[in-house]
Amino acid sequence: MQGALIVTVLSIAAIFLALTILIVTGKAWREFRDGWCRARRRVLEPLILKYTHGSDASVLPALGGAIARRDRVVVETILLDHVSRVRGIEHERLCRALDELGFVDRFLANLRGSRWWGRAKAAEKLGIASAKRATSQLAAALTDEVPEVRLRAAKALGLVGGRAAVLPLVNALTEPNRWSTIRIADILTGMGGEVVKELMDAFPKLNAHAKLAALDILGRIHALEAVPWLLSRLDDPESNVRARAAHALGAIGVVDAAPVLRKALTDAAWPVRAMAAKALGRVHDLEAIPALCGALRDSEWWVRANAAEALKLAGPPGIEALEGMLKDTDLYATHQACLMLQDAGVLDRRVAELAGNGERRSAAESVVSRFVQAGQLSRLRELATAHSDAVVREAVLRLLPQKAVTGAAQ
Amino acid sequence: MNFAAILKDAVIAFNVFVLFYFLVLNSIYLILFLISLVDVLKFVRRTFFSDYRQIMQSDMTWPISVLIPAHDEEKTIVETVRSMLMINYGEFEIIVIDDGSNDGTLRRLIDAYELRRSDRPYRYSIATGQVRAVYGSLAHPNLTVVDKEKGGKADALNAGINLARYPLFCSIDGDSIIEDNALLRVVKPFMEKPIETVAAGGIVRIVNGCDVKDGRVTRIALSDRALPILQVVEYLRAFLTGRVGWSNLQSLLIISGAFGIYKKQEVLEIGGYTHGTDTEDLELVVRLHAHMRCKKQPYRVVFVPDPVCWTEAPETLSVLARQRNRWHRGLLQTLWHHKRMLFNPKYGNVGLVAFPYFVLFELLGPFIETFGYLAVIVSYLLGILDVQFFMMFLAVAILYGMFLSIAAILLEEISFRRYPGWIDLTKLLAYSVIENFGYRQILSAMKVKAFWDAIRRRRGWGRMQRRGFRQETLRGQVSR
Repeated sequence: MQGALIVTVLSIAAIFLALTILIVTGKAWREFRDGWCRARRRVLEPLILKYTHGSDASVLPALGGAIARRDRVVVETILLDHVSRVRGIEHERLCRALDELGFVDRFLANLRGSRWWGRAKAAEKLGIASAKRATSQLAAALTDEVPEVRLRAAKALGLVGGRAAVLPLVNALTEPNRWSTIRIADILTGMGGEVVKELMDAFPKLNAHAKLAALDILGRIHALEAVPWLLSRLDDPESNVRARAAHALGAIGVVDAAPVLRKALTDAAWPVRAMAAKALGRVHDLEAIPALCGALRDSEWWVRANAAEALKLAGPPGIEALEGMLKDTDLYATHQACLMLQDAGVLDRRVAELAGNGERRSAAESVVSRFVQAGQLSRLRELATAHSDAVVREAVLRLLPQKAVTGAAQ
Repeated sequence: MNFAAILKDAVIAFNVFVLFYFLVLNSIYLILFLISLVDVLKFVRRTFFSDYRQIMQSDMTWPISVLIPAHDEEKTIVETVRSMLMINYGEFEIIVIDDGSNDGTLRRLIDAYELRRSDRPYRYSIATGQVRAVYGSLAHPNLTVVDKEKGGKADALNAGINLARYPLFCSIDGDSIIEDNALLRVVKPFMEKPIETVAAGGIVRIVNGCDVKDGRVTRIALSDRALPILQVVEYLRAFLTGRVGWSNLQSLLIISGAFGIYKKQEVLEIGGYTHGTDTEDLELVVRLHAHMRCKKQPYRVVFVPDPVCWTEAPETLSVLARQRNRWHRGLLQTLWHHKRMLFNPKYGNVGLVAFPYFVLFELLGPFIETFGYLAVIVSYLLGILDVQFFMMFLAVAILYGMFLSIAAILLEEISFRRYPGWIDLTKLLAYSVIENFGYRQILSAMKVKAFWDAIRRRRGWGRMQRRGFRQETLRGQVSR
């Protein structure tokens, strides 16, 4: 027993010592390597920049005819750092240098490697190097077993660009990892109009969350040619599809979509109603004002909030409608109208009008009284104490209930 | 059989039990370390491809309500809020809940952030103490301050949840500083698996010794005092080799109250934080596990080792004792309250692995350690102590403790390297040895006392003295 304990003590002591040495030597090695790389970078970077801004066909003369094996990592880092920062001819020259020095071939070899982080790094670097000849390999990497590799390959395809990259990316929207889908959607959005046709064609074959992502992309890139197709999606049996289609139509901002969106305000599913209200605000459809006033009484907060926002965006007629809704019997509608009128600065304007006389003053008094009835007193209290016009302050204090006046005075 | 013989047999039996206990406990530690090593390496490789800029810019990123409960935090609250306002994140709101402070916490907030009373409706979705007022900031539209009657931290957090607009909320201590990208990092599990992820926590590090300017940690260094450094080593061990491992096993029972992020819907379903415990963060996570298991829904509670929350650690033994007393009492209360989960296969790994571990080793460990020391004395008095064996056993225990601490430092060095200087590394290595001679034993004694206090139903936080963050600017002025 004691023998075993002695062995255990010695083993643990040895492991402890080994770990300590590992930590210390690891840190020392890292600091030495970083220092050496910084020193070599100071030497090599000016040479590479000279080539970048020059007219030489090859980078090799600038580097003295060849690069030493020990400098390869430093040269690769310099090239990748700069290629992502420049555009135009300088970008092309740096990409060519990466290819010429064999880095692209090495990245392609690494893309077939056994370690996932090696493959992911290779995909990332191929994208930065805009290696068009890697498109098919990157498309194949979209089916890699590791999500990180798939995501990097998608990002790289977005950077490489071209129609050959679009279809694999559209299909990759079916990624189970939600964040990957979001990133791929961002990448497709960044590619612009060239993705519209592929998205619409592939739509029936996509899974549920990919369909929603596809609709978002069409909205974000303002795909006018997709409007008729999006309108037909408002009849989709799936409520999430209808909601996103309405949202996309609003993002594109086509007035022709307004009648269909007005109809969507009565959809059975509240997300569709909420998105339709939001979209109507964006397309500035004045005919929708009565329907939006009705939506202020909706049982769902999001529908009410979006309808109020849409009325505000409709300009003076919408504001007038919101003021009209202050008299509504539905407390939720009144509350939402108050919030939006306050947000739009209408309350402040009306309060200032209390200093005047005639019809404007009575209209202002009516609006302020409605705010008081709705219990929205905070801004009124502030104005009662801080408004620059003493007449206005007095008028507001007169309209405020006694309890609120005490609060304002405090 | 006389009494001496019975005592002798009992002591021998206890010694054998301690030996067995020691072997099992340290095997678990070793397994957790190995799991953590693999996980941390994987995490570091993944963060090479950080998508944080994209997460920040994406419209699809979940907006977050940041809840900061504060009670008598006038020394640090303005800094904490400022650090949160500067954080890199797309859409977020900050809700500070002043839980009936007796000092100038609310006044300092009103002055610093131009607060005005607001009409923002307060709904008692979860029952809380009376809310006296809700304030909005003229300078920062995403800052809200709630002034409420004192009800404790859990009550304050519930008030924050009631007011939160967004589907995720993040709880942060009033004496903590969050790094710029911390929210972006900790939200990533929710972005990757939005349905399953219900909670995520980040690593907490000790700010004592660091320089803080305008709510940001500008220079990372270890304190000059021994106690905070001992806690740095302890935190590294607990977070990097403990929570990473438990997270991998889907059995993470603790998300630090100093920095955790939760899905509001799930927390509302379980009625928010509970008042019946001294560690509401631990209890909430355990209840979330129980709730999700009962719903039979796939879920995960994740620990992300990279987001950093800096917090002030006790600098005196008396304050440390109060803090650990509360933690251990809270552990006992939570485990007792959820005792049905122990060895219950219905709760999966949580019931079969994590719960037994926490009961047998975290809760009862200090007792067994303390009684072990007593047993040595009794064995010596009875003449049954094999001194040579005892010395060997002690050496193994101490060396193993040192090994675990050094392993945590190794994980830190191969991953995040937050302490860049050689002096700091030397200090960490030295204190990973020193902590085994006194500090650990003191902690055990504190926990035994906490157990006793819990039995006597003593409650509360005890007074936590804050020195405030070390200000780089102030230091500069003084030196001039």
